[in-house]
Amino acid sequence: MFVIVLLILMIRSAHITDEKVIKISQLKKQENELRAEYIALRSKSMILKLETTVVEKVKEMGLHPADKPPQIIREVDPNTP
Amino acid sequence: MSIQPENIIKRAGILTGVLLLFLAIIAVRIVVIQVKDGKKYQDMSVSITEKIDTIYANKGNVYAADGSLLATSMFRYEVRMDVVTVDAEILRDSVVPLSKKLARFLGETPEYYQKRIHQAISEKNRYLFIAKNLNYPEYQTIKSFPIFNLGANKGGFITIQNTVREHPLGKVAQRTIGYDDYRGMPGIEGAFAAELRGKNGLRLKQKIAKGQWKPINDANEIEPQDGKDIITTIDVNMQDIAHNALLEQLVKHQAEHGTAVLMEVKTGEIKAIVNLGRAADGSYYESRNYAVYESHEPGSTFKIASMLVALEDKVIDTSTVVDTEGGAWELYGKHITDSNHKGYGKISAARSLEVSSNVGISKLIYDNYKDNPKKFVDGLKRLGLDQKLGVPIKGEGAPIIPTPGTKSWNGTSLAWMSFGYGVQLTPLQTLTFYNAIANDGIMVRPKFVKEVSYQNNKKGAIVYPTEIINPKIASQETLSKLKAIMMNTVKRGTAAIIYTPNYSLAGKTGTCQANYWTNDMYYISSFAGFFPYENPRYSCIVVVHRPIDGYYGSTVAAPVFQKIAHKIYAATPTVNKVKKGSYTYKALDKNYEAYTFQQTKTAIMPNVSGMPGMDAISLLENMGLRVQIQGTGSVVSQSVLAGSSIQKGNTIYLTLY
Repeated sequence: MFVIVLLILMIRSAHITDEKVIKISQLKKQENELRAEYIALRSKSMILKLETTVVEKVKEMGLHPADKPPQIIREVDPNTP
Repeated sequence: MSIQPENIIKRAGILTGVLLLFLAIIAVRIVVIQVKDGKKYQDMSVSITEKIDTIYANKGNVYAADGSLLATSMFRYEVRMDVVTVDAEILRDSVVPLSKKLARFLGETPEYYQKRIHQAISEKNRYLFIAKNLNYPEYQTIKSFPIFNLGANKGGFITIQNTVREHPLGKVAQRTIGYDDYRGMPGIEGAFAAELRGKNGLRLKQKIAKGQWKPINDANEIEPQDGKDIITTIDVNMQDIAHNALLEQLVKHQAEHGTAVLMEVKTGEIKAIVNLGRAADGSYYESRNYAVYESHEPGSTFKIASMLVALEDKVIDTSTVVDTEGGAWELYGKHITDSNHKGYGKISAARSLEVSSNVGISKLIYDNYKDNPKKFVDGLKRLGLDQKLGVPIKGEGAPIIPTPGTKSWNGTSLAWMSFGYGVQLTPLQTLTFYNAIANDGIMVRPKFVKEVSYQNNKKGAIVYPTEIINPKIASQETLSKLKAIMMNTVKRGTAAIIYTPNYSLAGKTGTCQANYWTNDMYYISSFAGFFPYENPRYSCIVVVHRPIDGYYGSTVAAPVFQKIAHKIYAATPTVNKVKKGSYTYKALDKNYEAYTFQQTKTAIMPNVSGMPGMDAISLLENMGLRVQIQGTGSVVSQSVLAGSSIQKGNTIYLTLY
């Protein structure tokens, strides 16, 4: 009787493994697809982020890159050196 | 007919005999199979249900310094169509809408696709080509078209997936990033091929249902090692600026090719490297890595090296006077001429570099070294100018510095090499030398790769340090003099065209004739320098080959340098420190209070005319009004008069000018 229980357990666990293998391969496929999508979108966003792309896009609005550097005004406490 | 018992027994006996014979044969076969052929069949069973599977290592990525992806592996999709497996009726209904969508998405006309699909139907084509090299979103779009959206069996949609190496940013430093495939191994991809590739693993697997394979053991037979990531020193934004600045000049001067390299002075990190060559159709693309491989005569940018040697040997000083005569000087029957064709009279050595007088520098060098040219050449060699830099990218060009006493040396060699003829350097070698001057004499090796690290794991990364080629190329005194000459070249010399009072540039122009021994003489315009003069942060070289419509280094190459420098200047914030409580602006505070006070009076329209648009909009919107504007600038008219009563949600029209 005990042996039969063990046999059933063994068969069941073999089936679970098989199911997991199939699931892994499905997830792997999904992962690859998502990766492909991610890279395609990231590539697009990186090109959009380039300064020359932005400059071209805002030209019509009359905007252009600053000629002078940005000024940071930092308030310092006179008591701390 | 009656049945005789003896007969029955007889028949049963025969039947038993036959059965026994079968049993015996089977038993013998079992023994034969088990014992004799057993091994063969066992092996066969294993080979059908087990296999050794290769686990492919993921190839590493190439990143820019800020983490932007420069090269990565990704899928590209090829789409084909099976016109046999699909339902004929559904297919007939879908041909027209499918053709229309394909035509709009891929180009060509709807008729073109209709014709091809009908042809495929008549030929029973189960593998009709639709499109290839699609990225994922494009693939998804095609997949959603009528009939394809029914899937593989009903829609006849066939997908073929290929792993390809992509440069997501396309044009950016393409040649320096390079690739590693059947075409060769240029750039960083080629130099770090082994690290990027990783090692494939092996695993024993057993066949299970649905055509899947499951691993037999817990551990892999051989563990795969994923390729490592390469983090380069490239700054995507600087690269973009440099790319477009160089491209603009190349187009303007219809040059054959050009290169621009930006290097960080202290570390030797290459922040931007652009190599553009002209294609047959007149457009420019990253064709070859000119900066690394192309060894050419540098021309006037080499004068700084000549001057350095002469100053170090203390044979001249910057104040030494030289007579540039009428801009021409004859030596062994050959003429050295100045580009202005009339000379500069008697000038100091420093001034002769600022105006880039060939006569000036060649006289200074020839007069002082003619009896011992070896001393001059040795001085150049001490700078390492005869040695390759040893950058990881393959195919670095070898420099040429002729040596006295060899076949390539003759009476005119010394004078001509003093202004950069008869010697050869790659742009990167020249830049490394200029960078050393900016870096207090410390010559550092150009650095392309910051770090080689494991994917998704910062531990165990190899960080590349800055490598010093020569800890001191010249005395501080000489370096200061050279830096001053280069600063004055921009202030009042050949590069005055790029002078600006806002920030200090230092550099040297080069206008060099190439191929001058043939009828096909052309110019190489260059500029090498660094900025800011006081505390150099970046050095930069620009080289343009075969420009037309102007060929001076100052007009062709220097503007690219200036653009890059300006960009860095404009992007670097200046910090002004103010002491707390040391300032009060009563008028400003009052204004601000009035402005915020108005926001609280939400029932009465304020007077916004004269106000800048952005202030007027925020004021009105804070009051709960809607604003529609026309034009840009300050408000010239408002649709609701000041003092009128208003309600939240009203729309106000403003005209700006």
